[in-house]
Amino acid sequence: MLLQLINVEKTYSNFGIETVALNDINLSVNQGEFVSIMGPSGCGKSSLLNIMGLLDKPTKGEVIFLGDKVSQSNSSKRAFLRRNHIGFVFQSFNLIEELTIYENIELPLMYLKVSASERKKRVGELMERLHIAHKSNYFPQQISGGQQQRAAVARALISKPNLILADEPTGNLDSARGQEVMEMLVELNEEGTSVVMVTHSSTAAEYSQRIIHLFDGQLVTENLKRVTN
Amino acid sequence: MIRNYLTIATRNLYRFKLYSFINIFGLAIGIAFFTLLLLLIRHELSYDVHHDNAEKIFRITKFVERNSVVEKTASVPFPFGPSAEKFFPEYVKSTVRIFNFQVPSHAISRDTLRFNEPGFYFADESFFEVFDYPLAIGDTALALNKPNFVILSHKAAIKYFGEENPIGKKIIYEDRYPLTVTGVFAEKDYASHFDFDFIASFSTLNNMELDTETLVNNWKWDPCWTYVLLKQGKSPEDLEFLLNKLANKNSPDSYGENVNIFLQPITEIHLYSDLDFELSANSDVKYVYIFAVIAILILVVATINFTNLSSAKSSYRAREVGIRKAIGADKYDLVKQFLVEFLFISLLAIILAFILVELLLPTISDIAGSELGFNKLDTQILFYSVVISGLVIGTLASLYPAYYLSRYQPSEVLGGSIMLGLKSKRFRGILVIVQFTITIFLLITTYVTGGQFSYFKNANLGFSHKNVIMLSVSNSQARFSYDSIKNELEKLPNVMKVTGVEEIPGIGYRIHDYLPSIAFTGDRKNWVFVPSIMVRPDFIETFDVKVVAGRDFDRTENDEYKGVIVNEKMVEFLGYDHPEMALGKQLRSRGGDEKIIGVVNNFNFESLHHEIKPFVLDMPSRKFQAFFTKYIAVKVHPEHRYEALGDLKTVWSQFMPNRNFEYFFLSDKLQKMYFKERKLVRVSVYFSFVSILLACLGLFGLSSFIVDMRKKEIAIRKAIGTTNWSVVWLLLREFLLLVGLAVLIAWPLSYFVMENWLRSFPYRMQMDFKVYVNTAVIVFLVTVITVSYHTLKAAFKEPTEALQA
Ligand SMILES: Nc1ncnc2c1ncn2[C@@H]1O[C@H](COP(=O)(O)OP(=O)(O)OP(=O)(O)O)[C@@H](O)[C@H]1O
Ligand SMILES: [Mg+2]
Repeated sequence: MLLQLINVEKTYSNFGIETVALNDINLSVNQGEFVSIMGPSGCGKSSLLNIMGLLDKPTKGEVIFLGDKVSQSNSSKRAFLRRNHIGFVFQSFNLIEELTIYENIELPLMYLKVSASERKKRVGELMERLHIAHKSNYFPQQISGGQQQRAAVARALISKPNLILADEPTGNLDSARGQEVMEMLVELNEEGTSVVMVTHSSTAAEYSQRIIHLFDGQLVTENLKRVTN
Repeated sequence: MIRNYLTIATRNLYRFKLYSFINIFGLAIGIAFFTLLLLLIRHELSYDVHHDNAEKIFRITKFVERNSVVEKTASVPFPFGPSAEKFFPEYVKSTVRIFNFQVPSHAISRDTLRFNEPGFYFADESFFEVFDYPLAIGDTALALNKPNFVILSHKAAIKYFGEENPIGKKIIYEDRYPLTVTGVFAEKDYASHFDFDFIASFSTLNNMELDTETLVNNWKWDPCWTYVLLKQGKSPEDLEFLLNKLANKNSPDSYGENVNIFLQPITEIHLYSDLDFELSANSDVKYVYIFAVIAILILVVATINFTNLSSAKSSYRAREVGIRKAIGADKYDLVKQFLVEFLFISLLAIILAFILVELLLPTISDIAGSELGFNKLDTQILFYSVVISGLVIGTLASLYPAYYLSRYQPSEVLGGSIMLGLKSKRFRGILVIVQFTITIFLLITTYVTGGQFSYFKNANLGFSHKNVIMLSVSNSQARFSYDSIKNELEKLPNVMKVTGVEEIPGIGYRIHDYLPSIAFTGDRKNWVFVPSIMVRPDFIETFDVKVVAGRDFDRTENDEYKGVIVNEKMVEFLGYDHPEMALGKQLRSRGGDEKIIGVVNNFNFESLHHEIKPFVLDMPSRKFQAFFTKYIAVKVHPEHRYEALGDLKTVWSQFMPNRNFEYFFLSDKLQKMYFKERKLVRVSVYFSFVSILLACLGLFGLSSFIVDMRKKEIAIRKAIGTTNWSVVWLLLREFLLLVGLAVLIAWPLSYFVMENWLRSFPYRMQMDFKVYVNTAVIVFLVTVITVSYHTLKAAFKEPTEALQA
């Protein structure tokens, strides 16, 4: 098992107002799975994803990642796990504006202290594969949304993570571009990478093997399904 | 990775040009001025440390105290040094005496070249045993070992010999004594309290008109600056004790027991010594502290700019931080990244600071009245000063924003496209308050020091000096023909009155002892020390001193022997209730039985740093009158000062054809007594300007960020119908509030500091509360002007643009 959440709760408190974002979540993701999370706005999808991606600590409960209890690990430990095992794709792409596409994709490898020549080789190959090699020296704002999202996916992939977390990756894209990105995620998944994706679109969710419905911070149903036919 | 950091740093600098400019320029100004002050402080602390034995060289100084009047002289009698060496060989390795007849200048000539040289001194052969003033040409062992030898400074060598090698050639001292040049000092690259252009061998004096008696046995006259080189491991306190005994034994009986000898470390003379007959006007360690405080204040202001702008700008980097963290960077990676980035900015600032320092150094040296020329400064020291202060300021300024930036949580900043508000607003507010408090404080300092300085310049001293020209005649034959010179001068159309004095009125005096009649019992213990100067007739009219009771000196009355004039303080001191009562009372002097013939108003016979004390005007006996006539004071017509000057010169050359005309306007000389205050004023003017500039730069940058952050809010307010001007007010209000708080903090602070400073002067300006109002108004105006650029731009923009974003 790759990731397991046990009785996870998340409460935000701002100016004395407590918001319960997640309530008693139990959930596990296996190596090689493709899971979608769906639910209305504000139901806690992003909060869940942040906890799964070790970006945030749960208020209560345990997170087990690759067999380690990590819910209360310090930030360096969690950063180490993210660096080595997790990749993120966001709705708003979140490429660093001051870095070129190439430099954005290369960045995770730098934190992994991969040698320059190795970096060059891996980034080059991946960009070829995702058809963005010709945009290598462009800055994010100079290319289209679809290309940006492909670059973001490339950046998530470059470190060969076990798990990719995507928060509405198609939200800002038209349907054709959205489909391209989805196909990419599926391809990755087929190569063995686990994918957890938050989405509002049922078309996108169709690509996954399992759909989790979230309502008001609670897990409602888990639909097991097979898409491959 | 560093490459990546630098790449992103440069691209950010390029993208936020205003921010980059303000940050780099502000930091550079901070570094440059901090460095300049450090150099200044270093210079002040470097006096006389260049001597190999600096730690073991002491100057012998002599304090004589009676009835709480203390005569503190930097010099001692001729036999003092040699006796110390003779009697205490286990302590004293060597001594050296420096002597200049106690005259302001010496006539030096070579062929047709002729100058009055203030920097001429005689020194013992042991000069080079004690001191290390390096020679460019010549042998330290031989250069002063025979009579009529002289060593020239680099400057003097060029002045008299140009490109020629002066060694073996002659210059003429006071038209009579040829001196052979035996050496040339290296160009000056050290700082010393002793500044000289000529050092002649002491033995030269044996061939001059000084009698041997004076040179060997006179323990009364104190003309020799005398330095002791202590033996290794000997304590100066022990030697001081022995020298005290020596002085007590040998000084004239009348005050022998009142003498105290102090050994002054040579390295402390420049900053701590303020005695009579100093070799040069010294500085004061107080000013070193003040410079240090100003340096720290400038550093704080510059650091705050950087910190504030960088943290205000940080929200533009929040997303990047979030992304990097999501990718797997931890806090430390980010702190490292931002430190690298900020140090890179500091590096750019350091480069700019170098240029600024190079441009500003001459101005600052000039302002500070020191000779820290760029060429004279070790470039290595300069380099390290700039780089080190740059790195210190850079690091200090980077710590907070780096920490602050590294704290952004990806879960908070990566969510959507929300614009992040300004965080840490309160902290930034506090920093702005600190910055403006400092600025206002420096402004008030400038006002007050400036006010005190101009008070000094314009104060009514109780005598008139505006149109008095002083001729120095102390070492010329002219003083023997004083009466005929006075006669000639008084014939001139623009000359109104002429007198002769022993010391410059308003600057110097001597301490003489008197035996007042109230205590006239013959008991020596009742002799009192009273500041006084010897004057020739017409002193009172020349200087417009007011006679309160009695009369002026009168030649026909034999006042040389029988009459003295005192000031009102002296009347009080003697215990009379009224000036009239003092008239006719006996005031015996060493010269004979004298009576008080007149009382004058209390005029400031020394600088305004001192309260007026009892004072006596006395006429020298005929036998000594030439000796006591060191200056001829000429009151000239106020509208024809310069014509008068020309006439004076003509008369001068009739009487002293071989001596260059030497004069000064008394008012100019009086003002020079306040050179330390002047220096302080100029430094604070400069630095309060820098502080305002920095604070405004910071505010300008900050306002641009704040307006940008709030542009959506502004647009919404305008969309619902708020007027432009109330938007302006909305934005301005915050800044004015901060500055207002700064004003409230700075006022009592400055009041406290400045009152204390002023209280150190017995005569001081009235602190006017308008000063406080004015500075506040200035600062508010400057704030409004600075902030309004961005504020107005934002307020008058059509709201649609911002709302569509
Ligand atoms: N940092 C935070 N501080 C306070 N409350 C928060 C914070 N982040 C999220 N919340 C609240 O927690 C709840 C869940 O938020 P979350 O962002 O997880 O929802 P979501 O399902 O991702 O919504 P959306 O579909 O709009 O992205 C919401 O009520 C939200 O207002
Ligand atoms: Mg969300």
